[in-house]
Amino acid sequence: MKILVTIKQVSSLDEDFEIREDGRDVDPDFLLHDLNEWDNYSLEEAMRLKEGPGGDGIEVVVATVGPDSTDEELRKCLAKGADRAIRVWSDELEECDAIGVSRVLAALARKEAPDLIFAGVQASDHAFGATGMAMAGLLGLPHAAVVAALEYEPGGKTAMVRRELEGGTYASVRIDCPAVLTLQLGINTPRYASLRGIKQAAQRPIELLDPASLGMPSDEIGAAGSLSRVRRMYVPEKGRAQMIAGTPAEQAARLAQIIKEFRGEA
Amino acid sequence: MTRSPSSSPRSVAASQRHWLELLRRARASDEPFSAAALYPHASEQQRRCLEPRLFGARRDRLLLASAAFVAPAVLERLACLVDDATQRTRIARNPAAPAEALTRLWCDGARTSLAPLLARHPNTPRAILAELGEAAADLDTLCALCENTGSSSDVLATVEQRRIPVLQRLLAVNLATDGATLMALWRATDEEAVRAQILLHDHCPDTLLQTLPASPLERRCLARHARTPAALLARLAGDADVAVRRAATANPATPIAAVVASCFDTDEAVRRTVAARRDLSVTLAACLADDVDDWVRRVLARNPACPTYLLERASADPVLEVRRSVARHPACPASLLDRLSRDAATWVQAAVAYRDDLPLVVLRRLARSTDVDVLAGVGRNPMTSTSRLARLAVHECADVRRAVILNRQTPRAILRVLRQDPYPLHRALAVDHPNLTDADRWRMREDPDVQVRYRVFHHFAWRLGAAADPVPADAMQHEHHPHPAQEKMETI
Repeated sequence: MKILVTIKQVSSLDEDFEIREDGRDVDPDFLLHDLNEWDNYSLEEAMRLKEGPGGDGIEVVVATVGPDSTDEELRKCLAKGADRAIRVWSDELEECDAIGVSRVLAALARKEAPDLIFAGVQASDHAFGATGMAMAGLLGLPHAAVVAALEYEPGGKTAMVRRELEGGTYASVRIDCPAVLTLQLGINTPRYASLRGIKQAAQRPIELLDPASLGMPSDEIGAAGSLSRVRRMYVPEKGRAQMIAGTPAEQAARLAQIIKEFRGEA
Repeated sequence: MTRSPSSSPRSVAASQRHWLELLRRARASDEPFSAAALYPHASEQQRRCLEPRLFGARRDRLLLASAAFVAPAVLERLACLVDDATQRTRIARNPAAPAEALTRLWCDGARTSLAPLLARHPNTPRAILAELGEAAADLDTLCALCENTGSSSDVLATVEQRRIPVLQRLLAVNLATDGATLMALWRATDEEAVRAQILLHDHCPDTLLQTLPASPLERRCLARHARTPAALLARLAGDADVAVRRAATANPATPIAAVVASCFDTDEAVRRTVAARRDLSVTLAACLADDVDDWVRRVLARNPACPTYLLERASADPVLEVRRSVARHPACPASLLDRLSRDAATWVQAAVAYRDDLPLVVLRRLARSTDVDVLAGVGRNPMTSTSRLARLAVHECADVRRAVILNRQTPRAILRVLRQDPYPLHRALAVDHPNLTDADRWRMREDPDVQVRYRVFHHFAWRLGAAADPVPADAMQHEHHPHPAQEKMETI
């Protein structure tokens, strides 16, 4: 049995940053990289099944679409116990949106033929929340989003999932397998990698593939396979909010003055 | 710990070998922080070798400029090399930036854009702050000056002379504002928020503390002041305003006789304040022991002034937080600790487990618990046996393992296990444990976590870089703790 866990290297920003010269992204000098928080939970859920009853034969495969810097995140997953790591990349994928990434991951899933596919509900940087479900659509597999609990016996034909809905409600859903699940934070407690695991992971191979080797047609790769394109990234102009300084009396007087100005009385 | 433990030729050679290895590793590292740990302790020549790794890439300069844990020497050098506004802004905002770095930014022509940040930085030299105080035109900069803990009284006096109403309260808050300036402020305004802040200030002139103000806000601040006359405090303890009564009751200068009525105050917050007084008499404590508000009973049970016979009663309180407070009372008798260690609530047992004066038999009983809060207390307890600590050091709960690391009595053998803990924070804490030897720390120099490596490099840089370091030992001590706790300004 095989579980495919799709992961992403996400970026975070410091308080101040600059936009790239082409105006379409943040200057990479200001980006700090890490493994997407949701993906820690996805991997842990796969490891939980692998280490649980009947999980001896489970192979956990982690995969990502990204440049060589994303190897660091794949190695973190290997250090935590993943069996294999796959990275798919070519220069054309630079312009991918979430759908473009889903096409690559779907092509990889067809090749790997996993019994379950886990993805995070969303990535903390771009927050599309689309990759997992788009992948399910492309593969034509049953799917469940925002999964907060999973009951599955390795090798089983179905799984019971508890989906998190609005207003604090849950839905229990039986789903046929193979299936694609996007997992929510809190579904488990992710582990830290042991030092031994980290050292061993540093020596292990990462399989590098490109879209062509997955049999993807050229009109589905990168920008051609994407449904959106970032035209401009910008920091919105500051609004009209202002801090009113001074003593409470001064603040109240200023506030009253502003209200009068709005009413046209001042 | 001495900086150079041995001066035998073999030891010196080993130190030099280790130091050179650290330098090599720092230069080859994929992050700049290892080099930043070594830089302050390196010779001039070694610093030149480290600088390409530290400052060569803009990305690294940006990281270092905002890193509040790096040594001032790194930021000082960086301030000479920065080449854009973002890096300058980050340094000016960095609390570790030394006066030299801030002076450099000031002299580099960034006066206008960085003025508010430099005016706010506590390390900005007084001469620059004085210049800003006299010449700054924008309100942001002047506000920053008034809020700066490094502003001197003469700078604040200069700002006060500008008579800008919006700055008056900020000036009255600043700890450095002197009595003359406070008096000038008092005369310049009848704004109650400003006057209240003046009454709260340590340098408030005595003459202002002699009369009872009309506004509750001012009375509350007067009630909090340590130099308010006792007679006035006694009147404030019976004030119509609850907040004023609470402030007067909390003031240690208020005679205990004046707060007797507060034990029966209709407001529970006032009664809680009385219950916390260190000079509480046995009679007053007895009055509060059966208070309907469990928070009053909690506060009383932790108060060192609470007599033993009342602790006995509180140890049977139906509210577990009250029983927990008894377990945390500094003079809680052994018999009560024994009883509380069998309490139905593990939260109460945990409070017992943290006590250093625990009888061994009680500690052994608590060590058999399965509750992680209790076990964390046992792990933290200096009386816990080595064999028990060894078991707790491999506990599945990170909180329990961390308690063992924080236990200053944990022996080296167990720390060597915890040195391998999967949680990077635990490894970082282990580096600083006094029972870990330098040989153990040296084996941590390749740790995968950047924070742990930084601590290891920082430790050995301090130990091994002595020969290369021209900085006097006392200055080095200061650099070892670059961020002394700053006094907090008190506001109403």
